[in-house]
Amino acid sequence: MLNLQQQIDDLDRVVHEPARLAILTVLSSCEEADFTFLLRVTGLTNGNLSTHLTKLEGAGLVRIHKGFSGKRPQTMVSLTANGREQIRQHWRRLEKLREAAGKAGPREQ
Amino acid sequence: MKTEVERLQFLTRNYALLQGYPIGMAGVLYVSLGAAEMVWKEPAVILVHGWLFPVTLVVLIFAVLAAQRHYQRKYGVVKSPMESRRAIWLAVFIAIYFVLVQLGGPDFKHLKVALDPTLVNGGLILFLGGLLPGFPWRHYLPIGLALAAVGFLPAFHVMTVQQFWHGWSFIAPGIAFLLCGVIDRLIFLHMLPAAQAEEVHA
Repeated sequence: MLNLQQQIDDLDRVVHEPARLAILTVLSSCEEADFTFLLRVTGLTNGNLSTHLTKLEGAGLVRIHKGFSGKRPQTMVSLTANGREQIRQHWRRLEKLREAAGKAGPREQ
Repeated sequence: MKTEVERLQFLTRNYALLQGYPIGMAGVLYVSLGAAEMVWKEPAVILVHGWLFPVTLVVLIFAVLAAQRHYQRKYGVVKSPMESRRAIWLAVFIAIYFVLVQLGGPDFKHLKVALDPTLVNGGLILFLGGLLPGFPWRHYLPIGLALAAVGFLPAFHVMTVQQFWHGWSFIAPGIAFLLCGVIDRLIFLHMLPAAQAEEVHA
């Protein structure tokens, strides 16, 4: 069985970064969301959100589709099948880590 | 950890259900019809089936479309297929409502106590909506109960049925719908303040 440090080291850094984790969590709760909604719920700036989305797209976790809603440009973002699986596994790992830390804590004290 | 994650998930899953303006605009429509009934002294049913109906319908459609456009520009777009659990409960809700109305409808006419069916039905819709599992509308429960209770006032000689028939049958549900829409919106805005991404980890 992996120890706590190994389990922490095994976490995917692309997914585990706080802002990206927030983006992926939002996207895992819907089919797709646009850039404006992601800005609103994550509280990131335009530039930050763009950068994180580019990284996530580069890692094959999200799909970005640029189109128009009427005459206004609209950027829709959705999870890829891989991204959906990655975020699901990540939450499972974090949950296990939390349980492991809970069990380890009292013994170490 | 749970709080921030759940907040993000709650906002995303309930984005369409907490916009507030569809039920709020239905409230405005009801209040307008009730006010028109008071002014013209005609039952709203006659007004609705007469010239007022297409006009109010067109105004309502344009108002909803304009509100939706404004809302999407300001808060964004979320596309999400209805979860199967929600779809099932919505179907159950509609079935229960029609069964109750079918059962209760004739009783409204035959009961010896005076009551206002529009308010009782409106209250029933809101109450059942508030009970729906998986939907964020618990606040509809007390509003629905209060609305239905107001419908029973004539039975206790607090108001006459005639008073309801001349406007209040529409104004009271309209106010209840407006209240539901406002609370929907307040919940949404309260949940909206940007999630501090770092807290997702904590």
